[in-house]
Amino acid sequence: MWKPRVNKPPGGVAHITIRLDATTVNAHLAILRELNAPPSVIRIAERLAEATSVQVRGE
Amino acid sequence: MTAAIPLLQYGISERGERARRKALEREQKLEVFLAACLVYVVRNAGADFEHTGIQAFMVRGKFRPRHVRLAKVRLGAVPTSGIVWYADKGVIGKCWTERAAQYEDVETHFARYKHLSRVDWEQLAPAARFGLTYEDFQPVKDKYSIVAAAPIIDQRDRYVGCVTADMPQSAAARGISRAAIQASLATTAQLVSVALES
Repeated sequence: MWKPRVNKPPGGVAHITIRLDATTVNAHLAILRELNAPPSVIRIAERLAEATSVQVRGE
Repeated sequence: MTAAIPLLQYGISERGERARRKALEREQKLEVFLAACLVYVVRNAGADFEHTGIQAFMVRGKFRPRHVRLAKVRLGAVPTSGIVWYADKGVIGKCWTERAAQYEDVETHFARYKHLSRVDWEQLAPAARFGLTYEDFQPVKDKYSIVAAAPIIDQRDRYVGCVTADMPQSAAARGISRAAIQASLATTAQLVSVALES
C-alpha cells in the first residue's frame, strides 16, 4: 500500500516537540542497559540521547 | 477453485499470525521503555515501586476515537476501572485535548466531591469532573493519588497517544517529585514515539 513519505532527520529520530533534558534521557539509557534491553531498544535510546545532547550543545 | 480455498485460508491465517507477532514484539519493546520509566521515577521521584503504574495509550477508532492501552508496567495488582477513555475523559483526555503534559493530584481534587449525590455531581462543570460521569467516578474516586501524562506526538506533529504514571492513594504519593516524573514521562513518550514509527 502506498504511504506518504515522512521526512526523518538524520538518525531517524522524530523532531522533539517536548523539551527533553539530556540528563534524564541519559539516565533512561543507563537504566535500559541495566535492564539488558534488546539492542533495538538501546539504539532508539542512544539516538535520542545523541539528538538531545546535540540540541543542548546547539543552544 | 476448491483447491484454492485451503491456500487462501492459510494465507489469511498466516497474515493474522504475522500481525499478532508484530503487535506482541511492539508491546514487549514498549514495556521495556515503561519499565525504565518506572525504575527512574522510583529512584529519582520517590515513587512507590510496588504500586506505581506506567502505561502507554494510543488513540484508536475512526468514528469515536478513544485511548486504548498498549502496554502497562505495575508490580502490584490493581483492578481496571472499565472506563472507556474518550478525548473528554480523565487526565489523559486533558492531555489529548491540550496536547500538553499533565500532572494532577486527583486525590485532593476529588476529596471535596467524593460524597456528592448523582444530581450534585452532574451539576459540576465538566472540567471539575474531568469529564467523568457519576458511574465513571465511583470506581476511581478512591483509586488514584497522582496522575501524570505526557503526549506522544508523531513525526507529522499529530497526537497519537500518551504515556502515564499513576499512584494509588497513600502517604508516600504525596511526597514525590513532580519535575522528575514529568521529565521521565516526556523522555518515555519520545522513546515510545520513535519505537512506534521504527
